[in-house]
Amino acid sequence: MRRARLALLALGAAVLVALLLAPRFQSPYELLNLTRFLLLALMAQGWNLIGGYTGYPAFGNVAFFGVGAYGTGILMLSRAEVPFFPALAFGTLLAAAIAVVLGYALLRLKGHYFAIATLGVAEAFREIADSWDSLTEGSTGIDLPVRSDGDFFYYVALALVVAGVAVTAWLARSKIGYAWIAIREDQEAARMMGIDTTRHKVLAFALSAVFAALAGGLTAYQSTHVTPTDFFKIDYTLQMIIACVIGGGGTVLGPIVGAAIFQLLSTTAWSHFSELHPSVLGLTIVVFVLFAPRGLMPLLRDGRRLLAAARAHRLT
Amino acid sequence: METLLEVRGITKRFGGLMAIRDVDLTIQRGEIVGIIGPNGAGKTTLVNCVSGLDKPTAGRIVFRGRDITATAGHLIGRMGIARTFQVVKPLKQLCVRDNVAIGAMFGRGGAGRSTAKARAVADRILAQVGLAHRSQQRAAELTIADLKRLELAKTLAMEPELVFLDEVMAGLNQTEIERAMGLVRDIHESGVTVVFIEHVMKVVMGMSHRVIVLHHARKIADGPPDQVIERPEVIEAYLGERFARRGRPA
Repeated sequence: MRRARLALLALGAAVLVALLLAPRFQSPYELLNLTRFLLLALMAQGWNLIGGYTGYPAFGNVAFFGVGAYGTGILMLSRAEVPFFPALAFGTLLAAAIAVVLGYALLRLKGHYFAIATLGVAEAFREIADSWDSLTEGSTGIDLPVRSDGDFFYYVALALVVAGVAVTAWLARSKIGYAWIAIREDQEAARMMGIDTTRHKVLAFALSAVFAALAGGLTAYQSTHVTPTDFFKIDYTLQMIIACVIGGGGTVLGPIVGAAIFQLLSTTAWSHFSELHPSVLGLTIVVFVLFAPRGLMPLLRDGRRLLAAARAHRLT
Repeated sequence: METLLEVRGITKRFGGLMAIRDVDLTIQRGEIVGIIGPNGAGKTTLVNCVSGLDKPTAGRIVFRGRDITATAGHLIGRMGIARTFQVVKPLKQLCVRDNVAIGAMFGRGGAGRSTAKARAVADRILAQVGLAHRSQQRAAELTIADLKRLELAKTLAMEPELVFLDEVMAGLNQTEIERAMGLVRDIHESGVTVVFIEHVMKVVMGMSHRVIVLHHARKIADGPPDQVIERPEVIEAYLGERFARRGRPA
């Protein structure tokens, strides 16, 4: 087990070094795809906290992505001309605050009801962004200051993903992580064991909003043009969920692996059979749901356990 | 003797159904109390109300002098009341040890305890209930006897002063019942007050200091086990009017 952990650490370090050096060897288009992967990994990691660990199928996390984007953009464009990072921090905190309020109301619902309610809330946010002309310029959208520096966006995204993995790894081993899993497995049992279920669920939801809003703010700055249709579209929510389904929700690295596979499939499908792009993606998801419903990471873990058991069997 | 729990006139209504109606009872510290009654008498609802899973429609619940009628369930758990579930509720994807460790993290002794310390507590309790050899298995893989034992281990890890055991013997065979009875006695010896719901009469008669009988949502008897089962209304509740008129069950 210790050797396996060392191997995993070494692999992680190698991947990180490769990612750090990537901008030197990649074309701007490839770098853009890598940045997209990192941003998806970040959002998926956030969704993992509420959907994977706590077991609440949140279908509206794009709302926080959009709030992060608009919050960042509006502050940068304000008369104060707030610089990017403080603006991003503001957009993120705003999303977290909204998630806390929504969480207390919506997290009473379970399963499908929660999924539908969050879906509805995300749609409502799109409508608000579309109609609040004085703040969001409606469907025309807002234009952020241009920064055409691919390396900057790439490295910020990378730093956020690394931080996201570190935070998730820490949380997963803490009492908070245990509380989340207990809620997912049986909420009544969790409550009777002394777990404040409401507070832990709201925390998971708010943290998932933080991750999504960070990705939203960065995406907004990179693409410079923010509109309601682009930044509140359900595709983002679906991608977060798909990345978690592929990689394995409720694991630290699952969403990252899932995001990488999704991005790879998505770009390959796009460049080779652009007409069939959605069907290829859809088929992949069906395959995963049918044959690896808990995702790749648990599959790997079970495989390792089987191997270890087989080896122990041979020794005795 | 010190009164640990006092239930005064609680009623729980689900729509048109009265699950329990105006029930009074007290539990003294150090007692072993058996609760019996036919199916649907309201036994589990009573436990649900005391443990904070359901809120009673009327009445008051006082634990160690504090009114806990409106207290949130997780806080009641932390104050020292733990309960098992008749339909077991294991955290299936977690290993047995983590199931128990969670009780040690969030129960009465949980505040300020690290996850590592909680796992150490879990190991001690798993040894006590005889589940140590299953420690690394996922809870989903356990047999029903082991799942019942896991329910017990989870509540013990919370270091309660008062436990409610909801049919922990149901579905066990004779040998397993003997072992489980020994275990409950050990728990009681260690200073925990025990209230248990049970259908197995051998267990009820052999272990309880006092027996409470519920029937049609009301308490119909409360007293020493040998006296309670002689009472005509108890015999009637279990065996029907004909036996009650005869005075003794055939």
